[in-house]
Amino acid sequence: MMKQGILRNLRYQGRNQLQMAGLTLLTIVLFALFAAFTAPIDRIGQVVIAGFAAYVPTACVLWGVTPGISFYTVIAPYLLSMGSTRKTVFLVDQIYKVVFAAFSGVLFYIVNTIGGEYSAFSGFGASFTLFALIFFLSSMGEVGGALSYRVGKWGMVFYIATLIVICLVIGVAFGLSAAAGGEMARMMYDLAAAMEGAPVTLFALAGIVGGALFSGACWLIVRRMAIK
Amino acid sequence: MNNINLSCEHVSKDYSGKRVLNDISLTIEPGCIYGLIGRNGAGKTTLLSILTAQNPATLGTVTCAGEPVWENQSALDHICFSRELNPTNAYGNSSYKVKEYLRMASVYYPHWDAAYAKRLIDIFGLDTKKRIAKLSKGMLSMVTIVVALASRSEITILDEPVAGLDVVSRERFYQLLIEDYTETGRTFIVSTHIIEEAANVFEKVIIIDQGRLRLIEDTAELVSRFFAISGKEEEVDAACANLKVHHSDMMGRSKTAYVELQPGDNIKHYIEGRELDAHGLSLQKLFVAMCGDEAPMGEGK
Repeated sequence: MMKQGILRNLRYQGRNQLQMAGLTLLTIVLFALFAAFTAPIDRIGQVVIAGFAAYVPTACVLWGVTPGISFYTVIAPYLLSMGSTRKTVFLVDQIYKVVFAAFSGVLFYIVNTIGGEYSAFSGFGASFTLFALIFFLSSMGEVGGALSYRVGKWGMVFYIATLIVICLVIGVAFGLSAAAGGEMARMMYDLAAAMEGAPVTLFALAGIVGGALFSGACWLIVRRMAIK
Repeated sequence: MNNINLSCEHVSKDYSGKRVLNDISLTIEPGCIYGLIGRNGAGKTTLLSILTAQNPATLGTVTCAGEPVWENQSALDHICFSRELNPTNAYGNSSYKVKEYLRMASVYYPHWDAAYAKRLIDIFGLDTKKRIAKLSKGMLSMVTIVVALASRSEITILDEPVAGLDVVSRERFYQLLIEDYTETGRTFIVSTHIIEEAANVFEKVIIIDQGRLRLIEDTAELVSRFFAISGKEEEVDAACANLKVHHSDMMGRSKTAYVELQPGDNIKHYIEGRELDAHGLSLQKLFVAMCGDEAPMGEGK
């Protein structure tokens, strides 16, 4: 019977994940089109191809991480109210989280390989890092969402305010860098240069461990979740 | 006719240290329409949430067909609890379109009847492209009714299904409920505040008062045991000396007492030879007599 519950969740949540994957690809295309229309006419191809190293992580974070925050506040309560169990909802959510992170990593590997010398990143390490980053951020977002559903709307307000502050700090740092460079691809080159020699795989593994810890914390909240 | 029963034993629920459900034990027998009635804040929705594992009980156990309900897919597959939809819910259910909500239901309810859902949508004239946030209170009720009936679950629970429905739609709902019940023999539990017009539909009634189970009984038998006795105060008091009086009203020297007889008892034994008038109570009147004197609920919950 648990198998039935897993299959139902795979079917329903899978459709949502497919939509997210589609929106990710659409966002990447829109970024590329924007770059194509704003790049110097003699460097359009180079700018667009190099830009993919920035478009892919941005789109993957946008459509992979943000929905995770709302999953336990909006979607999961419906699934539970329609007779699904907490463990199957959580289990399938974790499966799709890993699948989406893997999709991001593979997509990043493909665009970097196609980009060749124009791409800021190359090899398996950068893709693995993106996989770990998406997994970590999604897990962190889920904990926040589950916690805010449990604590109430003020928990949600506090959590969103915290996220905004974090985004402001990161956004200003990256935004200034991007503005100084003039284009997103430039920012990625700077990031790649900064990561030169750093133990990237170690960071990625730490991200995966951190993500797993957040997932464990999320389960502790979800396992006794009451529908409001 | 299904043979799945749902029961709870010694269920209690605390919210922030306050007990909102207190030691409730009951069995929902298969193939019956139950009415769940109680005042605001009496604990009706909390009880239904616990019976369907949507809310964990602080104490006690819930079983369906002999199996625990909590986190048990095979038990949960017998149950549909179509909750009241709230368009202003802080957690964003308003973003869903009706068709998206119904699609979700079609995936999660194993006996979902898509053709019946389509028929119900046509009967109620629902626009499935509308977002839940844009629906009127009556339309929200219609969506919950469509989900409940089309789920074809052996035990189907509706929480305030007629809230916001106009009188025509309410009549239509009760017709559909009886049609479905006649055809399938499913068990229904209907929680409602509009008792009078639903009284004829309920075969059994569950009354919850201040978090406690007041009674669970056959509706016709229950109604046959409640009477209002009117007359001069001293005459009424004398007649009611050996009766359970739930409530009384005074008007000048005239008094009306709302009394409950023991099963098999006859009201004539008490009023014979006295200048008294006695008449039976409707389900709504007897509910008010039983629970109307209590302090208003919902405060401090």
